[in-house]
Amino acid sequence: MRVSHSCTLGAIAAAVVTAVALSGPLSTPTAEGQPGSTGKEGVAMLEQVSAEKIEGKVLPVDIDIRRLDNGLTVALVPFDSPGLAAYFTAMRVGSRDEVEKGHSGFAHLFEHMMFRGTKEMPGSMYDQKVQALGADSSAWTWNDQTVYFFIAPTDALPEVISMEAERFMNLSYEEPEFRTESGAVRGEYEKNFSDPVNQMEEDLMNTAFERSTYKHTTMGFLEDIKAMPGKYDYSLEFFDRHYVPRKAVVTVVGDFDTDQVIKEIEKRYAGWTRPGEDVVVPVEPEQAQERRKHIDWKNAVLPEMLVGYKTPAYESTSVETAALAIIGEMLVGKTSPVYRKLVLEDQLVEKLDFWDWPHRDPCLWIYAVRFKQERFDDVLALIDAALADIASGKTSQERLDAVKSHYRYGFVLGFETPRSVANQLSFYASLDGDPASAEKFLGKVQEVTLADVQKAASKYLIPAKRTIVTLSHQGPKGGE
Amino acid sequence: MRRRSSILLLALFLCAVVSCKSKKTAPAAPAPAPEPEAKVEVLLLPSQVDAVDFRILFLTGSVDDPAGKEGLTALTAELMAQGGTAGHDYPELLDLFYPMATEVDVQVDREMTVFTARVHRDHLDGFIPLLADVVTRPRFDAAAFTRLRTDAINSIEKGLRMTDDEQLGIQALDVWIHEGHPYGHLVEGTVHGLSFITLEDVKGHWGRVFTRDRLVVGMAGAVDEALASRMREAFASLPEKGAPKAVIEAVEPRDGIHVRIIEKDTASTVITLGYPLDVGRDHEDYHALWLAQSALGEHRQSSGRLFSTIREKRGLNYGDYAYIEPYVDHGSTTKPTLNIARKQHTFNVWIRSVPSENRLFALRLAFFALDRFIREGITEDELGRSRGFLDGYTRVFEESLDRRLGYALDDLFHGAEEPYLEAARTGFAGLTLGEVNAAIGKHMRIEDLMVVIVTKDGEALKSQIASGAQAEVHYHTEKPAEVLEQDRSIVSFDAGLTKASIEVIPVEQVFEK
Repeated sequence: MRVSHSCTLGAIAAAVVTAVALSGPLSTPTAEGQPGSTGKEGVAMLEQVSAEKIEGKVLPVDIDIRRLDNGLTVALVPFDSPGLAAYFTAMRVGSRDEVEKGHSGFAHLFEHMMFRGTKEMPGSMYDQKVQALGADSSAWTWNDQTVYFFIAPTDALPEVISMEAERFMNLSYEEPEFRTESGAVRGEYEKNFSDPVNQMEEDLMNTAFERSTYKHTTMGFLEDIKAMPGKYDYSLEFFDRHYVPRKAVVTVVGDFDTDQVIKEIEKRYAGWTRPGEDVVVPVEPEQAQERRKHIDWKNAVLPEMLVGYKTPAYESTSVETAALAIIGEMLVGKTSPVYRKLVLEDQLVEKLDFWDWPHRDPCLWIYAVRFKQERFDDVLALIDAALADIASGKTSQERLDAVKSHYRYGFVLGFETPRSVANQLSFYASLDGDPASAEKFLGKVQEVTLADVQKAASKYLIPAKRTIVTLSHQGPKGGE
Repeated sequence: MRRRSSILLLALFLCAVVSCKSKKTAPAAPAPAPEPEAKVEVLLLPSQVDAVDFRILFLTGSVDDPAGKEGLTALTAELMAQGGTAGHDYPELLDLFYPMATEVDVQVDREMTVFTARVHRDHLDGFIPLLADVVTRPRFDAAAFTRLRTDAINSIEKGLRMTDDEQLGIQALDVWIHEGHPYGHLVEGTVHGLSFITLEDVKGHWGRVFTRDRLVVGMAGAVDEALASRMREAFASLPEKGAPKAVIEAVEPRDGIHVRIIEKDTASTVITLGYPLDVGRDHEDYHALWLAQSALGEHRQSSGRLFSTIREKRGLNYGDYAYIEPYVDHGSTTKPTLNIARKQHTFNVWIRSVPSENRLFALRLAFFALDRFIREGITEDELGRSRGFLDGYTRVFEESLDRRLGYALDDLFHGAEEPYLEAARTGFAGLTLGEVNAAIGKHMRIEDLMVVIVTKDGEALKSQIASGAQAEVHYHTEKPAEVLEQDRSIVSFDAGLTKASIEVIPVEQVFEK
């Protein structure tokens, strides 16, 4: 039972931001706590709350990290979710690894193929097993990672571990299945492209990058998708190359016995020994001047603009990574002067977003604007002025403290379920292979100073390092 | 058929079980003095966590929109959530919420409106008065009204019509099925209705439909009786009663198949099919039909017959699903949205985007697959797998405390005698194959399907359907012989489509009035 999908920038923003809304562990509800039951005077009573205050803790979970002899990393995270557990496998392979020309979109297609089963467990059997477990099982692919997950009753964990080990070690499918699945990927591309933001994302990456594999989106170019059915042999090579234990991080979150789970994992994955190989991602040359592209859209949509700045690769302990994450909130967050002016007062803009999703290699720091009136240059000038204020040190300490508090509470409030915890930990772990990466990153965010903010903004968020993509129905305006 | 009176049970449930008079706990937050007999219903779901989830639920929805002002309830709710309070304009409110990493969100549906928030307990004292003011003392700011009304119109004209063909088809079918009924317009409104709504309309509507007799305050997490008392007092200033509740009558199916083609410039084609369904949660066939729906096309899962037939074997699209209850976040989630409970239901089948070259084939295939499912029913094996799946999967539905709270509130609406998901698991366990297949035969049919198709060149498709033209299918990969053999039956499978009532309308007319 699964649904697989690739993530657009907007989609991953939505998916992980939703997860970033979380809290401390759930406990077993008391009898009084069951819906509809009552305690004193008809209202269920609370037991003494004993959880710690947020101060002094970075994340409200403990992460037990194990590394198996074959290189597989396992993170065990106890979480009070009676009878329920999340089992995530983050493969450190995404569209970034599509280094051969004409193969864009392949990591995502391969994610689909992972549900086609093995010789011992054909796809139909795999589906039936998942169905019988009553699990929510799916996967998603993005630039640097492909994440497979199960949300299942704890009792099902041994079976889940067995099934996952089997397909990650012994995936097997025939060419006709491969060709049919590539048709489903084309359907996915087409369903996405009634929304112009997908075309904008494609054009933004294609314009901003010359050599980096971030030049194409995870979905891939349509021409490459059309050619996928003929690349069965390459798909087999892709599996051998990337689906190896040293590129995987398994994260288990929920209500389970740690010893039993790790023993089961060690037993089931012991035979996974392929060494795989690493690809060399071309280094992107330095960008020397601003780039622009305008899209004239066929349907009468609101005008939109994406602005992406070249920024360095993610490092969980880098103050630059942390500072850049904060600057997005400062610049276009809902309490920013820009938001107040453009959205609330002048009402020129319907929506302002910031996508601060970190990457393994240097990528883009992006903000997005949806306009009520086509005023690309006016709005760009206003946001540039606000950015100049940040870069010149005009941000107050009070503002920085509010942004850091917002960031931290948002992160912690998002730790609501085994799913949301595992999703967050897997996302960050897939960037550097470290299950504690999210914790380190969030800790670093709390250390950011005004000087760090000023330095990062003035170094990276400058016109020469940016690419602007605009879209409107009427034709080019304010662009080229 | 067995039906209970949901309304009556809801009233009894609220009065007898959840309701309790305010305790004389000193409120920590300033709040209007409660009326002497003011009563506010509270539902608590306590747990040892660091956060509190709020669901401030009103039995108020788009069914309360006056004729000609469609969208008034949604706009009123949005202005409450995003327009500031008497004490703070909206930017000030955002500044206050910001360090807490919270906001008050609102979700409006046909019969329910729920204000939601998730707050760390470190911030409860500061948050509660602000939340209460959002609901009880909205600012009704003129500039915010203008902003939100423009956004609402744009969301239809520039958003739903132009950027999301799948949602366009789903919403257009739902509105069409309920034509002439209180559900017969988008929750967000119509372009025409929204354009005639004034700020005075919003103020008046707030006083009529956001009243205490429609309110249940739901809270989960770090909650206790003292907090319940504070909330009762905080919401006591709302008027006790306002407008009478809308009467929701059953929708009758139409005679014959009806097809509405929405014409727009788009590369692919979306097909949605459905009809009004006379099976709610209190119906004796509900669990059997739920299991059947899961076997036919569980939302975003690969196990259903539709998925297997259309995507898995043919690779025609991304997914194909069936529903007996509304699923408003169709594409983006795997769990049902909560607090969109309705008294009137529909049966729906959703065929996701197919390349337009295969659109007629996909339509015939949808009818073929549904017809076959109805005629053959499910097998003992499918019964076992679906039952096993739902037994586990329904536990995923309640994976968070907030979702458990949402289900508990929906149970109040439906007058459930026991928690919905627990009752479902018990119900599935006792089902026989005969009962499930009887429910399929009784409640699933194709002869009066209503079909919405979002595509380009609509007149050409209309002619093809009306003439009974044989469908072409273009595969880009070779297919097994058994699939091709079956296709020979599907390309001309008609099922009454040639006699269907078919109309083509431009996308600009959809949701206009």
